[in-house]
Amino acid sequence: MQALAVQDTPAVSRSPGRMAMRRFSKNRKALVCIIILVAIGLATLVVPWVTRHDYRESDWEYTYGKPNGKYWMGTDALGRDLMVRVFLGGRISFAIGFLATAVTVVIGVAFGSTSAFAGGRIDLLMMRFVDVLYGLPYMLVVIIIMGLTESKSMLIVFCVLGCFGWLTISRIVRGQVLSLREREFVEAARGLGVRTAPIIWRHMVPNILGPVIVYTTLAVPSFMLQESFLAFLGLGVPEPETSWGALIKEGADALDRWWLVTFPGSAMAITLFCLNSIGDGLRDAFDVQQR
Amino acid sequence: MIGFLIRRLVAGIVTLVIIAIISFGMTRIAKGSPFSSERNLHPEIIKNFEKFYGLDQPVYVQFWRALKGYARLDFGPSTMYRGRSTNEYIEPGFKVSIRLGFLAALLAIAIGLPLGILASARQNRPSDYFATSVSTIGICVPNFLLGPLLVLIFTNWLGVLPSALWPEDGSLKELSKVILPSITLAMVHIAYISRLGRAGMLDVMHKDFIRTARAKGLNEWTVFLKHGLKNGVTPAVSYAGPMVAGVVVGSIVVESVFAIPGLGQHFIKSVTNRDWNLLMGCVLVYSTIVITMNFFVDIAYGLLDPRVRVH
Repeated sequence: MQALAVQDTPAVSRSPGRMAMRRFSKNRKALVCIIILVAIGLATLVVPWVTRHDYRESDWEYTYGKPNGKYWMGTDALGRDLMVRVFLGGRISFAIGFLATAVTVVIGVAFGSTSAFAGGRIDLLMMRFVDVLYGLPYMLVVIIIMGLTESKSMLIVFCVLGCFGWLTISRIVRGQVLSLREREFVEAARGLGVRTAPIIWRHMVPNILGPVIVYTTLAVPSFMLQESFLAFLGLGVPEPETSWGALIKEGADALDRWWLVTFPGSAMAITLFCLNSIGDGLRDAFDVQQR
Repeated sequence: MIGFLIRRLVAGIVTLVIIAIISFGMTRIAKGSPFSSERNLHPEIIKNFEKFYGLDQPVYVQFWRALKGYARLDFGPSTMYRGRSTNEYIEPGFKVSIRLGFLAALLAIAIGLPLGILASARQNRPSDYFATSVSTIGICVPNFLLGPLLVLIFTNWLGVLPSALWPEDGSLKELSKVILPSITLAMVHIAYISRLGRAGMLDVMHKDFIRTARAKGLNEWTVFLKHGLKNGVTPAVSYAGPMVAGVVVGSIVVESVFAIPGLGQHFIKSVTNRDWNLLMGCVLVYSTIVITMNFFVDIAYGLLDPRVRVH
């Protein structure tokens, strides 16, 4: 009777995704980081819109101005309000981080799963291709492409970054598909006569989702970093648009004006910290071996 | 093992050729020629220039000629610095860059590994928190931000270290110029190595064979050094490959921050000035370093972990 009573309690869903989410929700550091990140993200959208300063507008009376009541983060060499420019730069950094990640996830998942499903010689050939590209220091090629394209727009930056960054994810996806194909529950489904499409959709996709989500969150900060790296070298979006890397470069060139490097620098460091913490939290939550 | 080595070597050479093709192709597709900045030049003169540099030939002829040059380590004449060979710029730049990179890699290992091992041995105690904070800073403060911040602190505020350039002689004052750039370049790798070292050691020290070693009555030091360390640091060793690539790319920006006359400066200048030969030279030197080092890392890894060789 006791056993029956236990069975009567409503079944709690124990899908891998939900269990991971439950573990993740206990990670206080990661949750705080999500809040901070959302706040910064919203600020990049809202601040340039509500402020009374325009990011292109120069105050020639107050160039290289210290932070004060009117300009909370001071002004730059051309007397432009730094706060607007920091948040506007954040917009570009965020946009490129997320868009480049989206590009890599699409290419990587498509390439990796195709390779795994095709199998045999095609699989070998596709993975050799990935191996060769893997040994290639692709930032060099990115620098050349960015340096040689005349019209630098955001579109080009994230396309170029995205086109070279998909290797890791394609390997992850391929490995997952290959190991899942041999797993008992997939075999069982096949034995029960389930067709390929539902097997992929109901059994493979949910299990691949975990690693892909983890990879995605960790890819965003790395793309932000690469974009800022390019911008620092003067190969990012053109003036008067700006990004954190470009602002840090301006600050580095005028170090005796400490506010020029510290404000965009801390914005970037805090964002990277949050994104990395969330990524680490998700990785711990999805890690099968730790269960 | 021999087959494994040959496969790796072939892959490395293929990669190098692919890089050469991509970069060469990029320079020929790109708009703007090496002579476009001088608008007042007569078209006839530009034609003569192009003839001199072989730019009037079909692309595949140019590429073949260039390849033959590269095989002799001759990267051709510079179009930016007229009448000079690009080798005159690549060689001194390479010497500076390789020293900076080597120093940074050494620092990364010499600081990162002990830091990670210390953290694992003192888990959840102050020294662990210290090590973890250092690695967090390393990951969240990229080199192009760390460099200016270090200069701000140590040069502008404390006034103890020089902010730029590279030593010209062996005096102590000159040598102190290497401190800030090499720390800046090494920081992110210190972070990753200490992280990997810590995780690897924690993982290994909870394994069964460690318990067995302890049960045998070995003292803790022997267990730690002979059984733990050897297996625990392999993840950190495997990071050596990515580290080399990271140091190479990072050196470009660190050289720009500290005005160091290395290869990175020439590389960026060659891109903006459309100096194709100098650009190809820099790319090939960088790629060769990365590929060669990856090759050695592969060998080391193949020796450490026999499973790798079969792949």
